[in-house]
Amino acid sequence: MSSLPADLREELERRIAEFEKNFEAQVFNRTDAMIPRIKTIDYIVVAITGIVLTIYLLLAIVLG
Amino acid sequence: MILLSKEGAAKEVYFNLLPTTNKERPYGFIDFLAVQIAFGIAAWFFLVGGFTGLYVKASLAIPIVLFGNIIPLLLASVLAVIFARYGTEQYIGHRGVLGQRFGDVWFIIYVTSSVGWIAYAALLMGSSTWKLLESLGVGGILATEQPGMIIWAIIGTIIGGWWAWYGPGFVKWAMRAMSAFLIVVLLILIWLLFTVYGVEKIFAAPPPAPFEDPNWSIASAIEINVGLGFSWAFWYGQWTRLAKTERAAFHSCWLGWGLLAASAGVFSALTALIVGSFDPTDWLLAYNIPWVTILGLLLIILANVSSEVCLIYPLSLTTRCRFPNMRWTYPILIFTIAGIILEVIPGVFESYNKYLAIIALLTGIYAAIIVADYAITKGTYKLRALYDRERGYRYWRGFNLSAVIATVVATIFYLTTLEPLSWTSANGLFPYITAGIPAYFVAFVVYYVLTKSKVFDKFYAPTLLSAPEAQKQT
Repeated sequence: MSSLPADLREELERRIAEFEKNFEAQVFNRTDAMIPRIKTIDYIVVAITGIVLTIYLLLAIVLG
Repeated sequence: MILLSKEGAAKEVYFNLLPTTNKERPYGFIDFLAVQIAFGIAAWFFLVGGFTGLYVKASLAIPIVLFGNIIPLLLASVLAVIFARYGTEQYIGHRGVLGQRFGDVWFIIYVTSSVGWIAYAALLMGSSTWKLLESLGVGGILATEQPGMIIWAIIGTIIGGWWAWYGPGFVKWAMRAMSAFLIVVLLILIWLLFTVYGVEKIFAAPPPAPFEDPNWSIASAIEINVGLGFSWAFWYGQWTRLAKTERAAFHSCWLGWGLLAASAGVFSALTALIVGSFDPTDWLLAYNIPWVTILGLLLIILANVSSEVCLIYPLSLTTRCRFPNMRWTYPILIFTIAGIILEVIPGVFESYNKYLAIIALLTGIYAAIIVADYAITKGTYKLRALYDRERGYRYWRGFNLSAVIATVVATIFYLTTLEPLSWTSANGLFPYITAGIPAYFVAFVVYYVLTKSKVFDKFYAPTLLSAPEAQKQT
């Protein structure tokens, strides 16, 4: 970070410090931090989509 | 010392390495969806869909396009979350997984390999524009293959660079309008396809240019679609750092780049099957209806120009994050000019399949390593350490050895399964398995096992630490 222009370095430092103070603990505790956190249901939706598409492809190949 | 004003910082955050705060996130779910649709519907989907239609019949082409483009996005989807969580640009954020210097290696791979996308989008636009102008009876140099196609490609690239220069605020509104237009036109063309040719004819048509072995046709079609699907892995964080919620970032990427943009791939595959050409221009001319030709021309021009914007902005942002003292105009110029140089090299347009296979190799492995790390750490990194190139995430001399080994092993596996230049399989596994998705799992497993087993524990490896311990680390 030392090679950054002074104004940019100051701003970056301010933002990092703010994140560490206000949000880092929440991130490590896996709760909502700077923005609302993703939920398990989101992963489930994606997993179901993946399974459906895989079955569709396999059926298409098997049935020719 | 002059500190950035509040307004100055607010502007600079969209063009440099500053992490975004929660108040600087302009993109909700719909905004992302619009960007990803406008980014996704372009040369790549038209060409991939076109090749798919040449290899396999319709009943296979549809699931292959959907599977090949969506499954890789699902496998890589947590990349969207990581960079949204911290507000960092992707190639800063990934240092926590790869190490500072190995992160740089991937940065170089990203910027050098991605210029190809700029060229393909522009060349397809150029190719379509001159052919369609000629078919409409327009004369002159701009309606010729040489130099008309290249001139149009250069014009498209310059417009893309110019719009990208304005940054995400402008892009957000431009892409909202663009994506709505693209989807509507695409739906009209799909409707026309079925009304002009009929469902029966489309589904009864044999593929015009299959491989001798049907298994090779199916596997090759899957592979090029998977290549496109994984290719998005390089493009998450530059956009999702602007997300208002992790959920918006997560779902909009696979829905926009995958499900919705893949409609362009399905349309292309079915049309190529009927017309017998992978070139979208031939499809539009085959209708022999002037208003369809004009509408199609508009679709191709706008789709590819909007994609140029969506390519050049993140490429420039990433480059400036690595070299923050550079003026914003310079990376824009660098990628615009690099794209133009590639566009004038003969043979680039015809080598699209090979390009995709190489991209699948690179991006699939990259995604696997980041996702495997997420499975271990749940995406917990020290923001300060991501930016600290001297002390943060050093691992072994800047290289996370688990990631390096996973990259090497998966690369060897991929290249022995499918050599993309000659399109041959040294170990004979292709076409029984494809190469991109298996290589993803090879990289995932190698990284996961090496990291979990603490083989390289003596090197600084924060992913191995428990959350409270990691929090104490710098």
